[in-house]
Amino acid sequence: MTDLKIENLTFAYDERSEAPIFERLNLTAAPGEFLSILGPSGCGKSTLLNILSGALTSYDGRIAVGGETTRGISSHFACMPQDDLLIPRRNILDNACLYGTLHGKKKEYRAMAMKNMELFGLSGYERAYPSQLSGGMRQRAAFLRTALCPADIMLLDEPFGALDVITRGDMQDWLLSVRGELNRTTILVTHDIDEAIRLSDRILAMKGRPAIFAGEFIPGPKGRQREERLARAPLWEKIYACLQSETR
Amino acid sequence: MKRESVQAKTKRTDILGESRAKDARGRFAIIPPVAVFTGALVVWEIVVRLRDIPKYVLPAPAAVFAAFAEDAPALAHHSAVTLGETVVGLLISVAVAMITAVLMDAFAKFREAVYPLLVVSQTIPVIVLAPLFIIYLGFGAAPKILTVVLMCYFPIAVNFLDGMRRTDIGLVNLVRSFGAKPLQIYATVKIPMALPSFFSGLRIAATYSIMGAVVGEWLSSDSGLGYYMLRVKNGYQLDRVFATILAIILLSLLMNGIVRLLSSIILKQ
Repeated sequence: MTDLKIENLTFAYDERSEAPIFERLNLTAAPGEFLSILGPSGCGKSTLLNILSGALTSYDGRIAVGGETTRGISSHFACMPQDDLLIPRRNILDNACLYGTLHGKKKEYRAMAMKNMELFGLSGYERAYPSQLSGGMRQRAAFLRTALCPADIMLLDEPFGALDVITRGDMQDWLLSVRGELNRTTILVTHDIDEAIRLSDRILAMKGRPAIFAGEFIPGPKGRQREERLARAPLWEKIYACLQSETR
Repeated sequence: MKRESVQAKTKRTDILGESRAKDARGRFAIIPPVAVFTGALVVWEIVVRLRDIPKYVLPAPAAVFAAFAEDAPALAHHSAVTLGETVVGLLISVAVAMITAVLMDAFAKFREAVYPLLVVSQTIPVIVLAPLFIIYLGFGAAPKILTVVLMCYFPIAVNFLDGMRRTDIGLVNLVRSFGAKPLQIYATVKIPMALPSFFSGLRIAATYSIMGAVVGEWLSSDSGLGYYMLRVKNGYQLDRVFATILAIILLSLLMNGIVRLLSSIILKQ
């Protein structure tokens, strides 16, 4: 497991016409930490993930993984977007081992994928096509594809944002149950306060333009029972107040 | 988890149910055009008989079918020639269209330079260019094949390019973040995702393709349906002209059917 350090990150989509999205932004994630970045739509959460995943490279500052500076596409990061982005004409097994196919290790990755089908709740659906699965199953297949990448850090961009509230709760339960097995430093961006509280070791509230981290929160109980949900309420209120102060 | 599996199974059943309903609708969809076509033939036959129109002006459908049956061996021979030119032309079109579409997708400058010229090229009628092909390429199969290529290239290239350009950028970025090289991005994502558009273009091209070969044969040839059509026209054998048109229609439908079959196999999922 590896740590992540972002130092003095400055980025703008169009430097001439708009205020920068980030200006000297700093962030660290400890090895194995599950860090959530919470903020309203458009605050720069997904932009930050796009910079980390290498889709955006025209930034100033330094990104270091395990002390090693990285820029652009690198094997340090594996990204899981909001849409499952499964390839329609490949079955679930072939989708899951996409990384192996691209790197000439299809056989090895197929074996790894088969081993993990049970853990990801996809047993019996290896040969099914994405169109034959429910939204939650497709997200788990996409998760398996991301998890099989030998990356140090998983980037989750609102991975359950497109799911209904019940399925999203099921997926959060499932992710909590497999976190130990995944054993990775994970950065989750979301605008769902409850999701961030349930899943994370630490929450950073992002807001403003240029974006800043306005608050840091350490979540408590993770369960879905009424008492646990009530126990999370004060923290929920605190985070909400922190985020709301910017929008007023 | 169990609930989701049930959901998935229900969805699968729904998909099957939907596709069966679609199949049934597809079977019945052929009835209205067949009814209209049969009705038109009946009216045509009655008008020709009642007005006693001579065969060299307008043959009745029955006479056309009789000529078709009588000329079947000759039509089969000429159809084989036309079909050969068409298939070769269509295959060349597919190869050239795929290569240029990938280049246009990969290199914006190439696309900006070439695409407007391709659009303008479609405003020139092929029948105007065909005589030039004969001057440059002689009287063999080459000018006919080139006519087919000119007619078929554009719909395939444009649809295929459009399909690649409409590929979800998120998916392309995802595969790129997995370390895919440019050619792998095309092989894994862009080309497979563009296949439905490619087949749409190919279906249009396949329908035009026979016409392309016939136009080429009109101008210079000693065999093929275009040549045969001119020969019987010059003899005022209009029943045979119509029989040749019928053969052209059947060949066009055959080409379209082959492409449909191919696309249904390849795009199964």
